Amino acid sequence: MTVHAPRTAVVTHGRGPRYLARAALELVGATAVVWIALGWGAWWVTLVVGVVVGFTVRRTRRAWVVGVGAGLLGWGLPLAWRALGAPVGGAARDISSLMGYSVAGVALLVTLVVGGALGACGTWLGRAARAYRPSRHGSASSR
Amino acid sequence: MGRGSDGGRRGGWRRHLNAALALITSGLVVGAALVGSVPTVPPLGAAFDPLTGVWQMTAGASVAHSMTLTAGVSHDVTVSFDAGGVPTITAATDADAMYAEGYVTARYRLLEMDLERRLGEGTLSAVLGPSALASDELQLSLGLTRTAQAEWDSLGPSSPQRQLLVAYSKGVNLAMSQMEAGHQLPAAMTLLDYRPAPWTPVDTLVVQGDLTEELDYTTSPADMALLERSLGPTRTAAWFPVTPTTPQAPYDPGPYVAAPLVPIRAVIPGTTPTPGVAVPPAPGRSSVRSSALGSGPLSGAQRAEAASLMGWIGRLTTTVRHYGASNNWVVAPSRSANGQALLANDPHLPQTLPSVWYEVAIDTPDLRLAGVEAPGLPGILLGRNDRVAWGFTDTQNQATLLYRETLSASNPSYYRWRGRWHALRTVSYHIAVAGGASVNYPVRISVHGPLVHLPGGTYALWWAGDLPNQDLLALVGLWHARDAVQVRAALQHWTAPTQNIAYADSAGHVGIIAPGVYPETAHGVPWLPLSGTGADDVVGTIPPRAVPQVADPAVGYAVSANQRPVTAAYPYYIGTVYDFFDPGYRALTISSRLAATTAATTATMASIETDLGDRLAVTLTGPLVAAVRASGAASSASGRAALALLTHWNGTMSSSSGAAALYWTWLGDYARDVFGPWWSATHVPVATDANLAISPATDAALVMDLETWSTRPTPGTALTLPDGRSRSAAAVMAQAFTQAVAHLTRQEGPPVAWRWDHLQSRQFASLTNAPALGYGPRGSGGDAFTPDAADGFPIAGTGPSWREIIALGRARPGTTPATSTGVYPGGQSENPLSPWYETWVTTWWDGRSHPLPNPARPARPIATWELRP
Repeated sequence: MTVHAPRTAVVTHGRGPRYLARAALELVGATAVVWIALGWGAWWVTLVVGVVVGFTVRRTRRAWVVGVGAGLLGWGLPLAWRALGAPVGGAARDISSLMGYSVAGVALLVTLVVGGALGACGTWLGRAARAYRPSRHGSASSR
Repeated sequence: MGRGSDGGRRGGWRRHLNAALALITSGLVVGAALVGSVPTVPPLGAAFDPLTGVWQMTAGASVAHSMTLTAGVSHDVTVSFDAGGVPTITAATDADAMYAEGYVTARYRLLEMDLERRLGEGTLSAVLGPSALASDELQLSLGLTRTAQAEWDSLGPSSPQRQLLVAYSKGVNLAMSQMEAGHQLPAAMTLLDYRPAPWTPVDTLVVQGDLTEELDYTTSPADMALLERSLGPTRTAAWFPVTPTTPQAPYDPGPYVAAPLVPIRAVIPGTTPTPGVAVPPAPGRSSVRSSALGSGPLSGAQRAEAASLMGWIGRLTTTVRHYGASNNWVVAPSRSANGQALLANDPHLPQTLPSVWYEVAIDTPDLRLAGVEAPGLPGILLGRNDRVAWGFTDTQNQATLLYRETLSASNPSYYRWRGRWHALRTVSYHIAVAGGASVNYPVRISVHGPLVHLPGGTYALWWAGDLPNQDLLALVGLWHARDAVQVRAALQHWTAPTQNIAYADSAGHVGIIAPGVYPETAHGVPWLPLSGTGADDVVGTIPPRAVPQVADPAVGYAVSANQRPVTAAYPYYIGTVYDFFDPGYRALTISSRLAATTAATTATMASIETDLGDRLAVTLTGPLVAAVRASGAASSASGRAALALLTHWNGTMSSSSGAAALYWTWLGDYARDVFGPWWSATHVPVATDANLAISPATDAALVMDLETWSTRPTPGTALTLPDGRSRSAAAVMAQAFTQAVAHLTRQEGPPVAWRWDHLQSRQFASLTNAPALGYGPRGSGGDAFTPDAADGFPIAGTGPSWREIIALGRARPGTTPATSTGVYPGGQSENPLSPWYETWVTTWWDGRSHPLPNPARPARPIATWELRP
């Protein structure tokens, strides 16, 4: 006979190591998908990843962390990786200047904001869609 | 947005609201990421994709040290890059070399090339938005594309020019497709959200037209008409004369050939007259009211009309030239230290990053070239082969004429010409505008050229640059020339822009010749708007044997620096001091330097190229010092110190010179004191036409007047005030001295703190106008009249864009052969992250240069690319 822990217990235990490990795994996976897609020029996949995360991850806070985090990391880490062998700082200065800004950080900020915003919007859409998912009792749920 | 817990159920309306907000917000974000708001905001998703968007400029900056690619060449081609990024192209055929040249040029200058063709083709608005619409309309009216298309259509299938143009275009397109596939298009294109269209031979010919426009399209007839209207014909003729009243150093002093004019065979596209009719389809009186450029004082409405005209005709402020500055000269073996012929050239063009030049060397069985190309044009424009060398300066003869057309009142699509009515030809354009509605733009063309429509009149522009030309054929001839005779023969094909082409060959022959079209009218005053009735039409050009030229000059050298190349005895009209020869100070300085040496070396040539001597300053300082002493204007401590600066000054506009700072400030005050009262009293419309502002740096006629009036008594000068009171030149000079000292003391402190580079600087602006991608402003020496010219005050954006010094022939036994050198202030790559972006800025600034590559013995390459069939 299987004994299910009460929901309150899940919440309590969910912030423990297993919870964090699962969240980290989801974040790494989502980030990897975003990164790979960006290599193909498929920037919109960030939104799709957010939708999937928002829809499938049960916990709202974790969904937001994973969805937005994948957007930020998926767009930021490739730049960090690029910076190991290329003058990304100089590029930021030049791109910002081409955009009409004298502050080099503008290009970097825009990049991260775009990634983060796509991830956030996807997550939000996913959560909103999840609210229409039929519950176990046959009605729409916000889970 | 959802709450912080997964549990609980929401009310239906909240769930719907949340979903709606999520959809709306996501729609906005995706919209911004997908389409942006062109042209101000690019599609953010694609543009800032960290792996395929603008950040790829870091990848584009790296140099592929070894690369083999399949290309459309007939044999293997090798491209070897030296440390500065200068490619030496080794190919089995000329066409293969041009293919490779197109490829490497596009790899490093694609944005520049694309902007240049867009400029000429009137398609800048499609990427830059409404701000470029005026430029596009002007270009479509001028018709560089119509001319380029006519040139292309005239080339037979087997003509060498066609083959070279096609090969170059294919190379460009290969580079373009590779860059696009590798997400390495220039970052600016990504931000502007466009992909360049395939390059065509017509694009190349349009870029060539851009250069022509920059060098000899002027607004001078309109300027002169406004001056005459304000100052009156007598004063305008006296103060803006046809021939200079100051000492000159023409390279062709005569005697001259007064041969009959020869017809201009080329026809400006669209100007073939339609059949004339005695009565237009709907007869009526002329609708043309009194022209804004007629006679008498300008009314308010006429001033508005004139402003409209100038606004239209001068839309391309960066390309409309009223004042030029370039130097070239040759030294015969008899005057060089080692017996070699020497040639120097430093064309003064806008100094930008990237440069207007791209350095290249080409080696084929038929060609051995080293020099610079204008990105977009195959081969080289300036440089050498193994037997001859050449360099260009702008001749600056009048190449733009303005015709006043009479349109039918009832049917304005007809104009009056040679006593009959002719239908205007119309070419319609559709101008795409990024971020705005597209514009339909019809261009109407009379027998004289494209029309300018104004409330008060209709004008047509006749411009030599609109003539289909065979300049590329001339260049091909130059590349292959083996001696001076072949150089001159090749240049018979040159049309526009007229250039003073200095040449030297390995046998020691040197010379300068100014081939091209010089429009001559049978009647009328060409420096003013002409009648469109037919009486004042262009009837021909100066025959090639009579154009300004000198071959193997007896003095052993010849100099061109945009000065009037001939004396007043020359039997043809070639322009006025306003349109638009240089006052000649640089030519005098260079000539005197060369006359002073009988053993010139490349070091001599380099020191002349970087000479900061101002001949006008030398001339005026003596009278100025005398005037100040006589007037007692230097009675104060600062006045005495300032006078001491001038007393010990030799006219050198060096960076640290306090005297130079004082002199230039004084010259501006002096010009304003002399001419200002007249400009005010006669209402010279400076606000309408900025070219008419009193500026010694840009108006050759005014400084020449000042020189003449300050050094010898002259009747009818502006020194006599409009109310009849007379002033002496000395009194006005002293007055301006007091003003200048007060001005500088306020601005800079006591005279000991004055420096010229506090006032004058140079700037190499980015073509994108992005401040961080440019260089400077940085304080510098030089002014508009020094051989090392700084054109523009207080920030010079034009100056020596390329300095080449070439030695040809064998050195005398016991002497060392000279090394040919070149340098431009910039680098080979337009990518700001590239190590080749600003490579030679400091080199140029310090007056140094690097050896021109020797195609036969390329330097040890740091990168080698192979192009295979």
